[in-house]
Amino acid sequence: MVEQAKLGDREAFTRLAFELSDHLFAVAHRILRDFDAAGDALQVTLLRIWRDLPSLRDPDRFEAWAYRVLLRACQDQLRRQNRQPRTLHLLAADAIAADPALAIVNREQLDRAFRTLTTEQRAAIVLQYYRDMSLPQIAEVLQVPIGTVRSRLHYAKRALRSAIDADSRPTTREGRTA
Amino acid sequence: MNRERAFDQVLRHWLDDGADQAPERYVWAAIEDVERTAQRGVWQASLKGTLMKVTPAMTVLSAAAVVLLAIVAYQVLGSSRFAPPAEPSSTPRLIVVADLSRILPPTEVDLNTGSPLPAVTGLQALGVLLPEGTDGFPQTGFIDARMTAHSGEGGYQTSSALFDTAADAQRGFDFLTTTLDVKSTHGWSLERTGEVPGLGDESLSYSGSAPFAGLRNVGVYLWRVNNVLLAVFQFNYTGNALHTLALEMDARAH
Repeated sequence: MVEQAKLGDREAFTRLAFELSDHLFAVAHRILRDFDAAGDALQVTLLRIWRDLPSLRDPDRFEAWAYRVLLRACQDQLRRQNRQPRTLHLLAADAIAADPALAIVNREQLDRAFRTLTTEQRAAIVLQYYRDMSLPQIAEVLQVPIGTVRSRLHYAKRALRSAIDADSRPTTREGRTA
Repeated sequence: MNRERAFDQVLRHWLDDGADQAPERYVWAAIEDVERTAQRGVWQASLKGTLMKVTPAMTVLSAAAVVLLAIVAYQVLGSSRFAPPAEPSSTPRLIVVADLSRILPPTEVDLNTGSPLPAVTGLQALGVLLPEGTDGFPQTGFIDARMTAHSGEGGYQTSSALFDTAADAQRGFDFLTTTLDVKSTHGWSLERTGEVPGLGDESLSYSGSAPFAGLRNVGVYLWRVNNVLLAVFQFNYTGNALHTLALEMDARAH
């Protein structure tokens, strides 16, 4: 199907689009945390996939390439909506060690905390914990070395915990976030 | 370590809970866009494939053959027979920054104060075509842009954007048309009305509305003349000057 679509077969692309759309939308929705924005990102992604498909040299790498196109669309969405987070000052390691029990972390806290992450950090988290991708797979999608993926995940989780911790302690929150 | 695992578990559960099915309307909208969009780079890919099949030995032989032919031609015909071309080159001239304002209609005057409205320059001058911001705009080769401001609640805005090369301008054209094609609740709700015959090297026109700004009767002409992108944007206005304005700008760009 990818090969056919690459050669300009619109019917093959239509089938491919329906096959891909659930996966792409689910990832976009988790990164953007917004249903409509995820739909817009999906629409742009499918169009860009069609437009740029002839430039894909190795059809075996289509999935990673498609996710890469999606992540760029998500990044555009976040930028355009001015949702790009401000830099979060990380808490010191000892402060994290004393973070509140995870059991009390609720969905809203996680949601707020997740929105403080950069697009790259969000992507790394979603690809690992939602898509269950390995570090080399994530590295291929993001086109960065494995070490960079590892470090993004580390800082993303640390930032999440910091934000959750700050969220749980409103009296000290102002001093900890930018 | 247990805390680490527990946190990972919390993350997984939280991420599992979300939309898993794409609303079909977005997929169909994309497929409609695809129907109107040509794939990019098919000929480049095929040319590249052809070139890759050429071996170094073939390249050397071909170059040698060209040199040999040139020497033979020179000796047989003599250099004096190569007369200068009778007509000047038909290559279109490259537009420069100084041309940008000249191409656009005169800047409007503020109806309240009587003074000319300030000129808008740089990427901001494309702002009217990029309701969700200029961040994603491909800036490779982008030099500068101008936009005429508007003074009323409806009317026209015109833009001209200069790029280093025609290929850079083409990339800008592709990006803007892709953006204009997307229908969203906080962006455009435009329909392509087709190419505009006789306008630039490539052109597209749109009509519809702009939900992001609550604008009705929106019409857009976007076209490229060599290394410059030109646009006319009509909003909250039912006049028919869109086409005339575009033709005048196009003539000044040539």
